[in-house]
Amino acid sequence: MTIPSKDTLTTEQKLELLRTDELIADVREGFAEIERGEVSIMTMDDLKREMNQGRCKNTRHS
Amino acid sequence: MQEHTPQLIYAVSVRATLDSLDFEESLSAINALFSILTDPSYDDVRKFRADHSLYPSGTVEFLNEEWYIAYRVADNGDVQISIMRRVSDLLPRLLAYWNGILSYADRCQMIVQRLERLAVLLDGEAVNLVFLLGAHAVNGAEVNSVPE
Repeated sequence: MTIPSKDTLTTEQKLELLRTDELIADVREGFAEIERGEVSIMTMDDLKREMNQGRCKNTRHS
Repeated sequence: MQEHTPQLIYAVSVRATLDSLDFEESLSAINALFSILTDPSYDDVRKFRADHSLYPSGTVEFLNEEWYIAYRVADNGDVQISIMRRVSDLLPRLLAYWNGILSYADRCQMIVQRLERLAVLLDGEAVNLVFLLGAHAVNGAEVNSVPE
C-alpha cells in the first residue's frame, strides 16, 4: 500500500482526513446558532472594506 | 421590490475566530470569505458538497491551505457560515498524515504485533529471525511491501 504525500492528496482527500465526529458536531452547532439568530452579518461592502484594512472588526451584530 | 444582495451570516463562534486573528491571518480569512460570497456554489476544487449524512442538508465545505469553512446558502442567497477553522488548528491528524508519521507508525506497530504473536508460536532461531524482521520493518523497511 502506498502512502500518499501531502502533494499527492487531493483537496477532497484532505477533507476526508479532516472530518471527525467533533468537527461535524461543531458544524451542526454552528448552523444551530444561526437558526437561533445568534449571528453576525458581513456584507460585500464590509468585506471589501476589511480587505483594504486587513481587519474583520467592523461588522454589524444582530 | 428591491433586490436582496447576498451577505455573509455567520455564527457567533465564527465571530470569535475572526476577532482573534492577527493581521496576516485576517487577510487570508477575508480572502477566503470573499471567494465564498462571490461564488458560493460548490466547484469540487475548493468547495465540496458535504454528502456525509451527518452534515445538515446543503452544507458545503471550503478548504484551502489555511482555512476550513463550512457553510450553506439560504433561500435568499445569503451565505451562512457555520464554522471557520485554521487548518493548522484542526487536527494534528492531517499534519501527521502529511508527514507520514501516523500511517507509518501505525503500520510498524501492526507488523510488530503480528510478529510478536508469531514469535509465541516459534522458538530458538526462528524467534530471532522474526524479531530481526520486525526491527527491519520498524527501522524503515519498504512500507509498500507490508502485507495488509
